[in-house]
Amino acid sequence: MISLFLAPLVWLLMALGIVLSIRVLRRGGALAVVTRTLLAEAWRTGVLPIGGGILFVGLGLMPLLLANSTDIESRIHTLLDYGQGWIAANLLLLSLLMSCGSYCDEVVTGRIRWLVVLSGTRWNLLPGKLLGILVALFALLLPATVFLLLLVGRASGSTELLWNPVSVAIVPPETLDVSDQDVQTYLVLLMMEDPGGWGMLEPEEAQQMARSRLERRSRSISKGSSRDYWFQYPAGLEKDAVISIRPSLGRTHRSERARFRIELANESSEVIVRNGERSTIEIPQSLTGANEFSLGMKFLGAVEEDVRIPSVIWSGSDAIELRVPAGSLISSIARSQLLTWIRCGFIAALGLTVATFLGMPVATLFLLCFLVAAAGGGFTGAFDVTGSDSHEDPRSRDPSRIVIDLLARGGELIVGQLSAWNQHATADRVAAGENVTSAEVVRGFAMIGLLWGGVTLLLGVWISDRREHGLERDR
Amino acid sequence: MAPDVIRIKGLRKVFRDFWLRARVEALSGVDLTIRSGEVYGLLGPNGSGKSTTIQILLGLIFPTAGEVEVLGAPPGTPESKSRIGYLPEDSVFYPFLSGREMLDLSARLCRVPDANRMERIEALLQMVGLREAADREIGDYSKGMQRRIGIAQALIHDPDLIILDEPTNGLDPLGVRQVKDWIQGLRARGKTILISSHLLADVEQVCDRVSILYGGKVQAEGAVEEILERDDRTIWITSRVESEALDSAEKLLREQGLDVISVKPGSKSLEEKFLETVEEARERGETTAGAEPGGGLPAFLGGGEDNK
Repeated sequence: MISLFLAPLVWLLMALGIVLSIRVLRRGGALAVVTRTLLAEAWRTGVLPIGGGILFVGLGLMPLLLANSTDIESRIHTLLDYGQGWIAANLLLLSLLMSCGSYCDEVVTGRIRWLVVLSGTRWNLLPGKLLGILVALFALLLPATVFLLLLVGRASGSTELLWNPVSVAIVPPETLDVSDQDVQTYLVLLMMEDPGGWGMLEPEEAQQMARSRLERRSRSISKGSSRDYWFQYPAGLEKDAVISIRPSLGRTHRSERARFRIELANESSEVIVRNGERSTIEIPQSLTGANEFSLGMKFLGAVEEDVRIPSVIWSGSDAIELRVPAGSLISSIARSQLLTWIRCGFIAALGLTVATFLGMPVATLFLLCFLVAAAGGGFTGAFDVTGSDSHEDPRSRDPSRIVIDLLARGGELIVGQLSAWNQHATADRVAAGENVTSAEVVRGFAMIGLLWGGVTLLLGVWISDRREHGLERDR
Repeated sequence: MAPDVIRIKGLRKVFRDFWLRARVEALSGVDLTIRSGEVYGLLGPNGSGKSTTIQILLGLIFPTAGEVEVLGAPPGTPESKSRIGYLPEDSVFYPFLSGREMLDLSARLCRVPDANRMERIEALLQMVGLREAADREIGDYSKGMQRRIGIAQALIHDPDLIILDEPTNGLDPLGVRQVKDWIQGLRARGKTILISSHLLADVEQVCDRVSILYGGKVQAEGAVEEILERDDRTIWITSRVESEALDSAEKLLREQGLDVISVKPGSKSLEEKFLETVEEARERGETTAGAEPGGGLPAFLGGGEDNK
């Protein structure tokens, strides 16, 4: 119950932040006054007080909902995962409402006609509003994150969890990736072996089939054979680094076990794994500080003699990975929340731009569609016709098909960009104990904040400048 | 001759629908010239093209054809906008801002220097009689108070051209009188003022020249005295005349072959009575939640103070 009583205190912290921001922005030029006006609008019309209330009460209720969970680890995991998710969902919706609502209100009331006559409006209206939304969201995000950390600290029973280096950097093995050069080399070998079969294929088809084969081979180990996996970690391995594996043993039941022989830094050991379950292999002390090393794995087959497991497959990007302690939970959460803030900034820029030519309901719908599409990670597969099973369709040479294919490629390009959006949603990674690096924050800021957000905002300024602002209602 | 502040030649504006089909021809060949330092009235019934003309001058909509020049530049350019003060027809200001914050927003968006921003805000609040109500939210203001804050924001950057769309809309007679005084004061300080209004009596009292629009065309234009002059009537205003004297005067006029159409005893106008009553109440010390009496134009408005 204490967590629920903390919610009003956190709300007051948010209120203090916003009121102080409004006060500070009494000074400054045109940009500052537009920012201040938006903050005053969001605060005095109740968007921030009510939005903040819902956000903090929701967070405060979370420990009550998890009260029956006795497992501390899963309680913390859920708190981190759902807590960050709740914060991100609230902030995204608020940025959507504030951006669309604010500009659409100017148009509907006719205030835009007065605003654009003032000489300093052109380059300050949309950027100032965006800045205001960012300040408002930060004033929500900061206390919400502090509140979440308090809740996690209470759930774990001490603050050590927050400060200790418990979050890890994830490093995949290089061997799983198949490069273009690997494909070319392999294809040359195949053509030498079977010039009648491989040599007759179209070059593009041959490459696709060779790549598919190589990928299958690099991701599997058949019984009795071994494979080396190469890991690189330029910062040098920490003491508690581990290899984490999640093998797929085909149709074998989850209860069946299989054996691996592990060769690591001249030490040999045997590990027993279950189908689809994650196991960890400790890295020997002798590798502490190493920048690179090789992991040898020999698949010995099932533990029980009557069970037949022909091979093991590493399916998914996280099937085999190196986990190195890389920072405290608190710093990882801070970086993850910064990425959330950057993503909200882009949504706000998009909302403002869309509102320059669409009304409130349609603009909101547009942004919701964007969020749904982005949450799907881009649906790039819908346009993906490559693969070993694909064959050329003779109708594809038809001019109309060329246009359709070009449109599809354009769509793929646009929607494919959305996967970058998803890569910067890091709440579930933080909850899983993964470290979010500063480099990711910089990349997110550069790509989503500056590039996407900047271009979108410039587009909005251009549209607003080119649009007629008079007499819409009258005519 | 004073230089031209606004020059419009052959202005046309066609409003189109979503499919770019012509829907309304709001202006069809308007020619206008407004000279520096004059008060110009743009008159006409609803839909005659007054608002469209003003919106084009402000750069809010783009002309279909014709030439438009405002303060020597095309409309909508930052150079011309920085010298224009605009009072929109509706008081559309942010209802959650206080009057003082509103003027601050306007001043900063018009790039009024920090050094004299607060000074100007206070002077304008004093002028429009809203000093006491300056920290109340505009949403709580009466319509007349909103109009007053609108006039103040239009003057905050000491513009050379002031465009007032229905400036007396929602004002009480006292406010109307003050607005007329301010307009005349601004003209005396060399400002050019363009007024669009339906209240013809007000326009007649303050404007130097007017044009009457109908159907997107200028139907009449000229100095107010010129276009209102009637060569078939004469009006005398005399001191109180007793009935015998009136009868003999009338007889004399008829003997001269003149028609006496109307003779009325002198009376106050309702406006005069209203102003007297309010003035008396103020002298008795009665207070109001609305605007205070206000004052004259601040010094910075084109006067001796050079603080631009």
